Amino acid sequence: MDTLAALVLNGFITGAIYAVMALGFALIYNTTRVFHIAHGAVFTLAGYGAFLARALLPLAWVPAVVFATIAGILIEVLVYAPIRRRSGSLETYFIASLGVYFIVQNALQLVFGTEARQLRSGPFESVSLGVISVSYYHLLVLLVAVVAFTLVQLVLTHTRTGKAIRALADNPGLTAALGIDPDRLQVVVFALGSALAGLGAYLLAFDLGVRPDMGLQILLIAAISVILGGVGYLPGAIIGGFLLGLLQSLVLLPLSSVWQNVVTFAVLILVLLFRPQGLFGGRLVTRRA
Amino acid sequence: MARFMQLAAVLASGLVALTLACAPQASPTASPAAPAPAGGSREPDVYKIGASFPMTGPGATFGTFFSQGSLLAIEEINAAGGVKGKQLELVIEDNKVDPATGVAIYRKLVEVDKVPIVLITFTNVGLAQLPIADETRTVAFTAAMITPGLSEKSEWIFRNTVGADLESQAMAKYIYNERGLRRIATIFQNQDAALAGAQEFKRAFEQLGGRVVAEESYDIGAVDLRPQLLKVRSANPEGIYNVGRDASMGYLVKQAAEIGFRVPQFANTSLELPDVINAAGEAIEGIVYTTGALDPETSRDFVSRYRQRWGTDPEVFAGNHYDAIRMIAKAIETNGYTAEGIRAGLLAIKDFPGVTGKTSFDGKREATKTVILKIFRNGQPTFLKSVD
Amino acid sequence: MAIEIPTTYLINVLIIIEIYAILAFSLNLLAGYAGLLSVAHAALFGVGAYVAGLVALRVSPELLLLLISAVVVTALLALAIAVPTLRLGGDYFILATLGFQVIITDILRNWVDLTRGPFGLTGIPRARLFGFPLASTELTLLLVTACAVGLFLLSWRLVRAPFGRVLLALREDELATQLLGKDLVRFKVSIFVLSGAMAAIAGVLYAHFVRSLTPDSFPLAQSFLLLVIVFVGGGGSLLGSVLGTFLLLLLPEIMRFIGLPSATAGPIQQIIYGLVLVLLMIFRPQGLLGRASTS
Repeated sequence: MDTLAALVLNGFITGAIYAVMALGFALIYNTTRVFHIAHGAVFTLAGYGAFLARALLPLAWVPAVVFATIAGILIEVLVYAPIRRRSGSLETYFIASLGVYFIVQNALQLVFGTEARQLRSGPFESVSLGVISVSYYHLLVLLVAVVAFTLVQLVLTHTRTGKAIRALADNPGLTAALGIDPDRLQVVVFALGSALAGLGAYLLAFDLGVRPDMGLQILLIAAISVILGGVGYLPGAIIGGFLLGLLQSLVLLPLSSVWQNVVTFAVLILVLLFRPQGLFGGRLVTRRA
Repeated sequence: MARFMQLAAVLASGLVALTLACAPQASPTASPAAPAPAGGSREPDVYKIGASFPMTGPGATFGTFFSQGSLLAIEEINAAGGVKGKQLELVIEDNKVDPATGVAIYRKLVEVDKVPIVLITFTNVGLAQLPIADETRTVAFTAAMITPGLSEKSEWIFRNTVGADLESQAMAKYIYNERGLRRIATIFQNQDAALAGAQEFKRAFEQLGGRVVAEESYDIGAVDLRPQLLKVRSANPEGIYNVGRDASMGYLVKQAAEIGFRVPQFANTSLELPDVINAAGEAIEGIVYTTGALDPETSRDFVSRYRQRWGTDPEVFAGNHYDAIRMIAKAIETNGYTAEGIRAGLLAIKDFPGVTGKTSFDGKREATKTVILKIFRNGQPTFLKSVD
Repeated sequence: MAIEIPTTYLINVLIIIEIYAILAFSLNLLAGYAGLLSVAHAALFGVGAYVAGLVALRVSPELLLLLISAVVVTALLALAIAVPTLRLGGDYFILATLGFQVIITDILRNWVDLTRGPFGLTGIPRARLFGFPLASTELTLLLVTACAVGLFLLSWRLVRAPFGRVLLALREDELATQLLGKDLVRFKVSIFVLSGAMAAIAGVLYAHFVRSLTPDSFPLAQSFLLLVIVFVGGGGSLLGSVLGTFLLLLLPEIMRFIGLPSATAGPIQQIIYGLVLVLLMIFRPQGLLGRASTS
C-alpha cells in the first residue's frame, strides 16, 4: 500500500503543474471557444524566453511572460480577428491555428536546434514524506496551483473584469449589448491567458527544460484538464489538472506503463460522451466559433 | 467539365515541372527495366556516397552526429588529395525517421546520384530500405542501427556499430559478476532499439542466474518517469538498468534522486548524450554504462580535430561514421568505385585503425567492435574497464 | 552530359503521392463535405496497413484477401468510433477522434503478441493477383493508380448523387437539413465508415509498397497533415484534395533538387506550409479549389 500512497502523492505533484498549464488555456477557451492549438506554440516560445534568461534564473519568468503575452495578442489580432470578421467556420480557425503552430515550432527549431535545453541542471533538494520524497520545487508548484485556484475564484466572483469574462463565456452577444467591445475583450483574454501560459512555461522549463516540439503535448494536457474539470468554469481547469495527474499516476498500479495514454484518452472519451460538461461545468454552450 | 480541364492543366504542368526539375537534359533513352549497375560504366568525376540521415524529426540530434562525423572524414580525405585523385562527396538526404521517405530517398540516391553505397540509419527506416539495396545491388552501410539480427536480412548490409545485444550482454555480466547484484529492474523507452536492449539484458542476466524483478517502459518524449520509478520500487530491486535514446533517460536519473529512490543505476550508451547529461545533472554521478569505444589512443587526435571543426566533442556515433567513411574510401581505393567492388573491399578490411578501435568485418559483415564500460566520476565520463 | 530519366525514382514518388491522395480525398468526404473534422484518419490508415501486413505474412498475400480483410476490420473500427462520437459537436468531436487516434496507435504498439509491438512487421511479401506476384515497381504503380482512380471516381459519383447533396447541405446548415427529415446520423455514420474503408485500401497499398510497418508510421501528426491537405486544396472539392497532395508532397522533392541543406530545408518547408495555411485561412478559407461558403 506504500506504492499506492506514493502514487497518489505523485499524482498531486504532477497534477499541480498540469493545473498551472491548463489555466491559461482554459481562460482563452472558455471565453472564446477557439480551439487554440497555437497555445502550445505560445507556451513553447515562452519556455525559450525563460531559457534565454537562464543566467538570471529567478527573473527568467519575465521574458517568458512577455514573449507569451505578445505572441498571444499577435495571434488574436493578426489571425483570429481577421477570420472572425470573415465569419470563419470551425475548421478555418483550427487549420489557421495549426499553421501558426507549425511556424513557431519550426522557427524555434531553426534557431535553437532540436535538443532539449535545460535552464538548470540536476535534481532538486527534496524533503521526505515517508513513502516518497518530494522536491521543494514541486511543493512550490503545488502552492502556486492552490493560490492560483483561490485567486481565480475571487477574481471571477468579486471583480468587474471577472464578471465580464464570465458574461462573455456564457453569452457573447451580451457583452455587445452591455457596451463592452467584444473584440477588445477578446484581445485582453488572449493576453491574460497567454501570460498565464508564460508563467506555466517558466515553471515547467525550470524543472524539465525546453524542446521545440513540446507544445502539442502541453496543449493536450491543458485541453484534457479543461474537459475533465469542466468547460466554462475556470477553476475547473485546475481541478482537472490534478485529476489528470492522479489518473496518469494511478494507471500504473494495475497496469503496465505502456497503457498510460490509452487509459487517459479512454477516460477523456468517456467524459466527452457521458459528462461533457466535466465535473463542474455549467450548462454546455455550443456555439459556432 | 471546366473544372476537369482546370485540374488536368494543373496536373500536367505539375508533372512537366517535376520532369524538368529532375532531368534538365534528358537523354532520349529511358532507363531499362533492369537497372544498370550503380556507379556507372564510365568513371565519374567525383566519388559520391549516399546518406540517409534523420536531419529533421525525432532523430534530428542524431542526424547532426552522423553528418558531422562523416563530413569531417570526407573533408580530411579530400584535403589530402581524395581517393585515386578524385574528390569524395557525401550526398545527404533527410529520411525524417519515416520508412516511406526512406524508400524514396534511397531510390533517389541510387538512380539520380548514382551512388554505389548508401549510409543508412534508424531501424524502422533501414529495414524498409534493405529490399531496395538487394534489388539495386548496392551496399547499405550502417554505422548507427543497433537492432540485432541485421545481417540475415540482406547480403548487402554492413554494420559498423555496437549492437544493442552486445551492450546488454556486457552490462549483464558486469552487474552479476563485478557488482554481485541479483535483482534488477529495467526501465526502457518503448521503441525497437531500447526494447531489444532490455529484452536481451533480461535474457543474459537471467541466464547468469539473476532476476529481472520489474520492467516498465515509457513513451518517446516522456518527461515524468516517477510513476514508473515508484512502481519498480515496489519490487525491491537492487539496481535499475536505464535503457533509452534521449533526454528521458536524464529525467529518470534526476527524478529517481528527487523521490529518494537511491539504488545503483546502470545505463546504455545514450547516457553520454548532452541532452541526458544536462537533464540528469549531478545525479548522474557514479552511474556505470556501456558504450562502443572511442579508442583512447587513435581517437585523441580525432577528438581535437572534431572539436576544432564543429565546436563540440564527438560521441561514439560520430566516430562510427568517421571510420565508416574512411573504410569505404579504402575499399574504393582497393577495389574500385562500384557496388561489388566496395562490398569486396570492405570484406577485405582487416584491423583497420579506426577511432572506434581496430575494425574488421566478419563473415556476416558485422564489424567486430569492443564494448567498454564507463562511469561518471566528478561529472565526467571516465573509462572503467573493457569487456571481452 | 546526358542524364537518364530516373524513372523508377519518379514512379516511387508518384506511388506515394497517389496513396496520400486516396487518404486526402477520402478524408475530404468526411471533413470537407460533411464537416466532421476527424484526426483519426492516420490511425485507420495504419490499421488497414497492419491488417494487410499480418494477413500477407501469416495467411496469404492474395490481393483480394488483403483488401477485403483490411476493409472489413477498418470499417468495423470506424463504425465503433463513429457511433459514439457523432453525437458530439465541433471541438469535442475533434478531441474524441484524437483520443481514438492515440488509443489505436498505442494498441498497435503494445499488443505485442499480434503486431510485434515496436519492432513492427518486416519483410511483408508483395501482394499477388490470383497467384501472380505484383513484384515490380511498374506493376505496383499500376495497382496503386487503378485503386486511386477507382476510388476517386467512386467518390466523385457519390458527391454528385443525392447522397452527396445531403452531405453538402449538412455542412452548410445542419439545422435545416434536420428539418428536412433526413436521417442525419445514418448519413454521418456511413460517411465515416466509407472514408475509413478507403483509408484501409490506402493502407493495403502502403504495406505492399513499403513492406515494413512500425507503429510510429501513423502518428497524430500525419492526421493533422491530411486535414491540412484537405483544407488547403478545398474542403468540398475532391480535385482540391488531389491538388493539395501533389503540392504538399512535391515541394520537398523540388527542394531536394534545389539542394537546400537538409538540416534547414525541413523546418523551412514547414514554416512555408504554416504561412500558406494562415494566409489561406484568412483570405481564401475555401482553399484553392473549394467553393466559397454561401452562408
